[in-house]
Amino acid sequence: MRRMVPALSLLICLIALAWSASPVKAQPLQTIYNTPQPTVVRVAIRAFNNPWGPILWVQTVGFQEYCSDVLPNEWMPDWNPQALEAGALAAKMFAWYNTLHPVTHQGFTYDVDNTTNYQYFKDLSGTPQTDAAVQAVWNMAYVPPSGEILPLDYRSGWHDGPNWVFVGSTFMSQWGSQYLASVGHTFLQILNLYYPNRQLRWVS
Amino acid sequence: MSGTTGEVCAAQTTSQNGPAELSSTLNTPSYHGTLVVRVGDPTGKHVAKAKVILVGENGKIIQSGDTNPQGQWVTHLTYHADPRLSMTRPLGTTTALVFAKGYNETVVFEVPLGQSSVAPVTLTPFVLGQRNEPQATLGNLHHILVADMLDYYAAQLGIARQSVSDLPMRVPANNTAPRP
Repeated sequence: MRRMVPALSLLICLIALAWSASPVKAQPLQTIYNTPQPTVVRVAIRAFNNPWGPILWVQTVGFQEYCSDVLPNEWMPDWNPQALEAGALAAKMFAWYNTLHPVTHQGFTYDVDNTTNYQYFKDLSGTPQTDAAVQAVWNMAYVPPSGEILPLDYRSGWHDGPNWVFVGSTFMSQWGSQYLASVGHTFLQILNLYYPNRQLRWVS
Repeated sequence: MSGTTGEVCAAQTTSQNGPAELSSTLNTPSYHGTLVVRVGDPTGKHVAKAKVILVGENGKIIQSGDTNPQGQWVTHLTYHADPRLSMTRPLGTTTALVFAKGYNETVVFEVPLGQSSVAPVTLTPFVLGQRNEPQATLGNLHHILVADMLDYYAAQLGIARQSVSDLPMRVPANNTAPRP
């Protein structure tokens, strides 16, 4: 019996070792090459667009419609069209990423909510200027060389300057985008400043 | 801003034809603008034939109309800049009352008015056996506008908004930061 105990221990160790060494299924990188654009977004509607408000319901919205109803609430509709296009691509990539990472909270499963926890969404709020910006970048993606779908996050920042603290930070300054556009930068130049090592790609 | 009349109005008019003038007790310039009221429900359905009434700050009806099959009602207004909200551009406000068959009536306070404004309204449907009280909500005030207002008034008292350092200089490779 005494001889069996070490043998049994050895056996258990071997089994444990084999278990831990078994190949882990690698999660394939979700890229624009293997992941289609979503057709819909599940939006948790919080009361009064309050980030801490209770979730009232989850609204399923067409992807482009969602982007059109985010942009005028995140960028000012009368801002420079190049700033709006930079914002439109950021809003789209941010949403695309989150449709790949849904959450369940308060009994609801959703991709984003309608507040600044994600992006401020207000149904039916699209304006002609912001709708045009969403349309202009709709077949574009802005991604790392691998094509991985990553969020283009942003913060409001401050008036009347490029907001240097954001440059290269992978966070775009909304006010900074407006300033840069007003001094002649294109939406792509704006994105390049705030999100280094990413490239424009076409998607269908 | 184009459309500025430059006049200083304290007197109020209502108009049934052409651009209606938003009544004001404020001695502020008036501006012309277009307001699109869009009415929908939580399922994303556009609500046609909803009655929209705009009320000025003197309590009088300024304009009213019905939404079209796309759930939209478009109106042209002359509004007075509301100094509380006009830090960077002249904005006015109005109050919108919305009535539609099968839905709870909704009042939207502080609907912002600019040169070209959109006022989205989501109506909640009547539910049998529920109280179906009227709803009250706020107009779609832009977060940048709200920030401007805070900065403006804070500066008058020599205070400032809190500066929250939430700007990581690098996004983690697997950006899975939890959200509330």
